[in-house]
Amino acid sequence: MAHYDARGEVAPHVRRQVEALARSVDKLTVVTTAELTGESRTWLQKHAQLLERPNYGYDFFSYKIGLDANDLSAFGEVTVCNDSYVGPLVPYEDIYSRMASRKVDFWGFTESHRFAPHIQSFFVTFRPWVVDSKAFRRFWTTMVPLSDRWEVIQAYELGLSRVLRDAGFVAGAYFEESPSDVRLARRRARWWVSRQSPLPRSTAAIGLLRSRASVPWNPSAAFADKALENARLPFVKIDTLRYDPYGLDADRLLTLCERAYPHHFDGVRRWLEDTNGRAPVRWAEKLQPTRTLKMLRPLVRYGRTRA
Amino acid sequence: MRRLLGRVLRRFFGDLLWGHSQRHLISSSPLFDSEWVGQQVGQRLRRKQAVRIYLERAHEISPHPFFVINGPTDTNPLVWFVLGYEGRPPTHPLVDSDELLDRYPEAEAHPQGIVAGWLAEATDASQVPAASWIPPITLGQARHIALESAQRHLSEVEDAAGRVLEISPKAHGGGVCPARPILISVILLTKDEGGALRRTVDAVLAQQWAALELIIVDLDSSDDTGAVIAGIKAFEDDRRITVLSLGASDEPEMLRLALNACQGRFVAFTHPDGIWPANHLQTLVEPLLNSRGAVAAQRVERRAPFLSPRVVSRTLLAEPARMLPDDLYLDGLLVERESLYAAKATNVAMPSPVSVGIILELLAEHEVVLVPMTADGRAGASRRGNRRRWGSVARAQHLIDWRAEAGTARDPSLVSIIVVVRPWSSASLARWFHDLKIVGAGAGGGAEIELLVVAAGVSPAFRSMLAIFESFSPRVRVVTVARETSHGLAANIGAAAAAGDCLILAHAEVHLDAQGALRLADKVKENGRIVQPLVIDEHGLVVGAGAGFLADGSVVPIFAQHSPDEVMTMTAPPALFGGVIAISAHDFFTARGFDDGLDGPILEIDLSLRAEPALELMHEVWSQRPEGQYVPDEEFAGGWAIVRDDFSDLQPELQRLTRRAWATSGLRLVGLNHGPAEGRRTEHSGNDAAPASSDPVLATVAQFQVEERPPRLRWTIDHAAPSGEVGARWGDAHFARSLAAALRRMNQFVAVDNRDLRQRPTRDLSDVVLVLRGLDRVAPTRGTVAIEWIISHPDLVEAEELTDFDAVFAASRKWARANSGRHPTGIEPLLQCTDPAIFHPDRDPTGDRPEALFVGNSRGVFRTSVRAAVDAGIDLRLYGSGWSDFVPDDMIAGEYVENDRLGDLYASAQVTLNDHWEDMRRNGFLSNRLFDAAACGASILTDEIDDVDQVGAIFGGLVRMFSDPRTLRRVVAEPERIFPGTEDRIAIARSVARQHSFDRRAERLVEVGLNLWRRKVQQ
Repeated sequence: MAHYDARGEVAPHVRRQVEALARSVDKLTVVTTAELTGESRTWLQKHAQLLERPNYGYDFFSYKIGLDANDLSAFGEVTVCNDSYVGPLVPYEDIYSRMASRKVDFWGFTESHRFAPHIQSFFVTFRPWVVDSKAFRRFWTTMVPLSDRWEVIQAYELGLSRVLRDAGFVAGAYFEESPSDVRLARRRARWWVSRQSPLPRSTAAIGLLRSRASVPWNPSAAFADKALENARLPFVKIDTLRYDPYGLDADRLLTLCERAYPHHFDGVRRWLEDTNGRAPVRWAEKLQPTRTLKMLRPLVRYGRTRA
Repeated sequence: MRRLLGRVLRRFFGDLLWGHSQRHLISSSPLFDSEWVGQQVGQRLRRKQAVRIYLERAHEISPHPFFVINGPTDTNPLVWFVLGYEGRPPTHPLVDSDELLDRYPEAEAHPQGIVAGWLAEATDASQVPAASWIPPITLGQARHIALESAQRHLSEVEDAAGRVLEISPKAHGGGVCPARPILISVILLTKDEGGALRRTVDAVLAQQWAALELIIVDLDSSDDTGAVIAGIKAFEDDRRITVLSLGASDEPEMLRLALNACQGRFVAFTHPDGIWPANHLQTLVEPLLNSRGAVAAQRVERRAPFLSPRVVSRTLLAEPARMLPDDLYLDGLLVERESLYAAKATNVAMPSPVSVGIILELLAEHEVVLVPMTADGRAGASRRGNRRRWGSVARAQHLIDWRAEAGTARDPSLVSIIVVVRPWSSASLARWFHDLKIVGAGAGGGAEIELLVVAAGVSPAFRSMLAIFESFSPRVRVVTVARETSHGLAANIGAAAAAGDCLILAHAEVHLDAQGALRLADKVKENGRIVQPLVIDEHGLVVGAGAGFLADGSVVPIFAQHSPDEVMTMTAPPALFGGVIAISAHDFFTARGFDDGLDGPILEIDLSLRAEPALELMHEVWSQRPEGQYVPDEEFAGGWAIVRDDFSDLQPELQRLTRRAWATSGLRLVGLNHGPAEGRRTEHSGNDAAPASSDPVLATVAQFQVEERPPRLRWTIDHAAPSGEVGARWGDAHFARSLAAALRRMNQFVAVDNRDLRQRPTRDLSDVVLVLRGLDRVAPTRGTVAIEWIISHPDLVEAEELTDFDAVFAASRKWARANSGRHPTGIEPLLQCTDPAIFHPDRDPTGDRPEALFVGNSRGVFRTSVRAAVDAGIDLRLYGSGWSDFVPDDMIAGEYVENDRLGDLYASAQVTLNDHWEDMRRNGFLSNRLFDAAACGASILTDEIDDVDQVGAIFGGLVRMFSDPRTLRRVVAEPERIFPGTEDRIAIARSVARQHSFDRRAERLVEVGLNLWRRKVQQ
């Protein structure tokens, strides 16, 4: 598990995640790039093998450090994950148990088709034959630390799935999109695109808008409120709560989640408020004002089905 | 509603506006011959029917025997041609457009192009407007040959169809339900195809015929195939899947072991590219059970040119060695296990896959049940790329008896040239006929040559075109192979048909003339080596001078994109590469010819490494490969990737030979540039193989000798003449060649670049670039010593140009003096000069002695000296082009004189005339004709040069000037009185030759060049 905290702490939801993981797996290694406080270090060491390293290379390089530090052949499955989500909202045991019968070689919580089909890298599990494969070994041994988030996504998040698929391995996701999910996601993607650009004033601009709206969505954001449907999506991403990338009213989502999962979301709002100042600004995810489209928002906002 | 409306509109109006107009266009076109279309499909057709069939199969058949072009794939070729939106290519190599317009000028007005215009008016008795070298042939004769050719081929194919039992879908439509399920064993052979394995296995396990077992045989894969299989087995019923991983065995062995593991009554095959539909096995097994046959084969429904699918299937099975496509795999077969076990193919030692070999054996022994195709487009799809074409390898075993061929006596006086043609190479082919001069006008010069044209898988129109050429000469033979095949197999089939003792094997796009072919053959006979010519592009840049081998395991064309001059010192390349090789038939067949499974440039490399005889590059024989026909990197690298491992033991020696080859031209390999070539090692591609292609990084090595000679530098001489035959005749080109020879005599490496080669990428490997300033301003090459020698057109020299160079020379004392201040180190006079080997006073005067001689082109103007001679009414003999507009024809003795003959001409004339370009005359630039003629002791009359002292000092009394026709007349009338006597003339000539030779100029240039180079190196 890759961990980072600008204040050197272990956030409440991360503590719950570590505890849940430690309960469900044979061995948990936490690789942190945070300058840990004494209390945090002691707490983490109590629950996991703790590896501390300088803060470069994003979570993927932490994954590499963690994988290198273990004899992977000793395990039935190997999971890499980071601390970027609140969850799991169902026990990890249930998740592993459900995925055990799926005919896939590696799997994650969600599969995205943005840019290229890939398992979203905040939680990925590999079967033992994948761990033993040349493609897997080559991917990690040739990894160099990258310090640009976009480069990391391109080279490693997309790259990991690409390398394994090219080698012949089949990927799967815990969260399976139903036809109604897909319809909702399309609506939300259109909404997102319309908020990214001014209102179209020509046929060409409409065409451009349509083509942009047809790009695949980010399931972690587009389906974030599926967490409210009996934890079909067993997590909520911190990025979704902090940046609300699709403009679907993340604050409402947080409120609904606090109501549905008071234990899991205890302290999350506070932590978000405390760390907002330190979180990087993502200019690409800034959206246009919505005055003209305001009345459409109820059709897409989070929690619509339950609200 | 909108969709419905669209359909209605398309149906009614679309057909009216487009379909109908197409039909009309075709039907009314003179380029549509319904009898020809009918002949190609084996039917007698009315015009309307023929148009319909042609529209349906436009890319398989041609509309007219004189229409051998393919056109774009997404439209009807004839319609595309007649509309002519993108211009119209030649329709047939026999038709020459210039000749056509000369004979039928009214054809130009035809809206469908000139060929249509000609055909609209032509009758059977009309001559085909062919190039002048092609023997006369009438349209009727050509058409008759074409129709016969199509008829002959169709008969051959249909006669071959035989004993194949075809099961129609109805015959087994009800299906058979055996009381107990019959087990089918499915064999999946895989090697390094883990990426595609999972879908194939899923397709097998999802078969409706559930009683199956899957035997996965991993042929020692180096990728993650093992891990993928482990993943498959983790979720599947173990009893259904057996995995054999048997290390590095050959495929027949693997197949035998796989069969041993099979429990089923029938065996089916799949491969990692094949995705079976769910009913695949069911479709195969039911008719087989009904008929009690041993082999069920899916009917091939891919279309072959001009044959119906049914005919293809039947002939394919009846004459499989010729008809089986290379990309046919075993997917479409279901075979009784016992029959398969008995098939001899499993004992043939042949690497993977052996599909075609097995099929050939099975078809020889068993009745075949044809069933409809079930597999989707991926099944049996081409698996080319960087793979050996095993289908061709298997077919070769049935088509060529190597041992017998090696022992066959052949005609020692005959040279057999084997050219493999492709459907797109008709234009290249015509050039072969022309260059070899074995048909039509001029034929006979190469009586000891035969040309074998091997055509594999070409259209009937293409065959008919070949048949017409074949009819022109008994020394042209066409060998056809029904199916498209590897280049290696096609060439081997051609070689087996050859009657000559010496074989020249060539790619269609590379050209060689008869003289070159005979010289190659002579060399083969002389020393028993395998020989290749120097292959250049149309501008004279080296394309193929052999292949070299690099330390990373890759192969490259050596000296590619260098000047041919740089290759002159290398005679033995590590391997041959270029597109043409000459070899004795015995050596060729003893080495088992080209690799039957290979295509492209790697064939020669592979053969030259396998065959016994030594290799030789003949620089003096040039073969041309047009620009745009370069071998693509990926093809080169891909081919090498297939055979590289066969020569791993030779690598150190091959790398040594490669370094030595470059060293002969003063070059040293200092590194490798790994470009984006196919096969390159990349971190994420999973490709662990050594790169098949890298770019060598070369550097010059100044060679110092322990003797009193200057160091050996690499020079490039740049001159203003263009490439090609015309450029080679320019005075600048002669001057550059003579200077290069003089520099070489001083032990320098020298390359000569004409105007078109200035930008060659290897020019910066020179130490010194010497620009002979002519018509163009030339930018100096960075990193080299730059010297400019202004030998003509001083008015074109720009002020700032001079400072671009490290040193500047001028062929005029006057001009050099006047402009010296324009260069930091001054401008040194370096006059033009002569080549005493050609121009000397001992030349024999030939024939009669004209009063006056002038050698030079008119350049479109009535040149001073010629005008004066004509005005003076003297007996002038002219050699040069462009004079017919100015002087009577009887005055013109020829358009061109070989340089070697010039000396005799100068020596024979009573007076040799000379003049200069105006700016040269005005600035005191002495032409090299003055030096050449003076070195022969000729009496020379020239226009007035503005540096009389200089002329007198160099040429003594040999050169006189004239100002008008009267002066000219007076001198020509009494040359003995004006010019010195013989002894004095000879003395002056010897002095000119001594002091103004290219050798003297080279000495000065080397001295200056070396000083500048030393300074540059020290910096």
